[in-house]
Amino acid sequence: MDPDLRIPRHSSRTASRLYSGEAVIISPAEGMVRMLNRVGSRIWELADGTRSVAEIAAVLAAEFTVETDHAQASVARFLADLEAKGLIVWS
Amino acid sequence: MITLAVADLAIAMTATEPAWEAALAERFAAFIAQGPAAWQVEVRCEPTLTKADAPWVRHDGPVTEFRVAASTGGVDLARARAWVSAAAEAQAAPAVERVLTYILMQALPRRGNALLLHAAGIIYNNQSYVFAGASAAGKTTVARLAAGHAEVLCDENVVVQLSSMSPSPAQNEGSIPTLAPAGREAEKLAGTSSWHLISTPFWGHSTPPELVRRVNRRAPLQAIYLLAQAAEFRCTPLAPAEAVLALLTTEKVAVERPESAAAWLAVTERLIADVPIYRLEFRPTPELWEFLAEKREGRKSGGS
Repeated sequence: MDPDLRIPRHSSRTASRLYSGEAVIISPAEGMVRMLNRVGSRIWELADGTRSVAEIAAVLAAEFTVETDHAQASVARFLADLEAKGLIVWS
Repeated sequence: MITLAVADLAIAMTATEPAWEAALAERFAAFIAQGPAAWQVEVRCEPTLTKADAPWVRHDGPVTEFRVAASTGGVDLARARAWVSAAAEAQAAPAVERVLTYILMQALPRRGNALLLHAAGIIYNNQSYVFAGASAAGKTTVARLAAGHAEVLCDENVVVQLSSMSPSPAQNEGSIPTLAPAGREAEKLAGTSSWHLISTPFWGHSTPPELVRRVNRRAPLQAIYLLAQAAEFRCTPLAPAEAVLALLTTEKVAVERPESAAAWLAVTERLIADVPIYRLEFRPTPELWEFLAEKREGRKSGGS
């Protein structure tokens, strides 16, 4: 499967909330709390199980006025990092 | 059996030793209530219990069990039941308080309108203020500095609750509080709701006895301060996410399961939308009250 067509969603082992555009993510199993920056928070918000990596990157490219290719690479890298930390899974 | 009500949550306690039950009834006298209880707690005497070499807490689904100091116990969130054992009467009260605060920490956010915070609660000029912080941040110091300036509701655990009406602060002594829980429906009916500070009987275990006054009070909540002792007074408003992170440093137990974390975050979102949260650097002197009064006046006149 094309990795950009994969659909990320939040792991059920996390709880999160957006406060004025900044995501706070709690991972009870590892006793960790994380706060994401604006871009990361937007990716987290969009990774809700309804959009593919490519679709998330397209939204970000439009909102932050960056090249689609650049956005796609950044989103893929960021989501891979979230996956490694157990914060997202793939639908 | 005795029933306690803290922030509308009624908890029935039965002790296997009648003398323990009488002692607990006396300790929690201001919070004794009548009527049905949402939670049941059994307090047991286990004379063979010794002080735990290595304290532990473990979770198995909705059940949390612990072994701390000379006590052991468990809390079953699914069945709303808990049990706690202590070796002697002297250890019973702290052990019971450990279980009761755990119940409040877990159950109140799931009701959608309240949080137990590790904080001192102070009433000053008919408004209430929460001073939160980790151990040694200055909660008991603030309670001590309140003498002659403000009323202390508790120096270690308080509840903040969104309520749909506002009784006078002196109400509710010795009865189940009558405030309507402020769910979405209640808000629609009442048209308005506001945050209140509610006392608990759970003071710090190392608080000097002369400071402890277990009163059952509530008052409109004005602000929350995250404490940090410093050389100079400074009060800094916190952005919403910063405020949540700061509160989480003292409330890790409240978010130890995904569902409890989700409930805690949802209530906190409403809290920080309505109540200002500041980082308060302070010197441990009575000038604290003057400083806060000036800050409050400044805010009223449009300052930060």
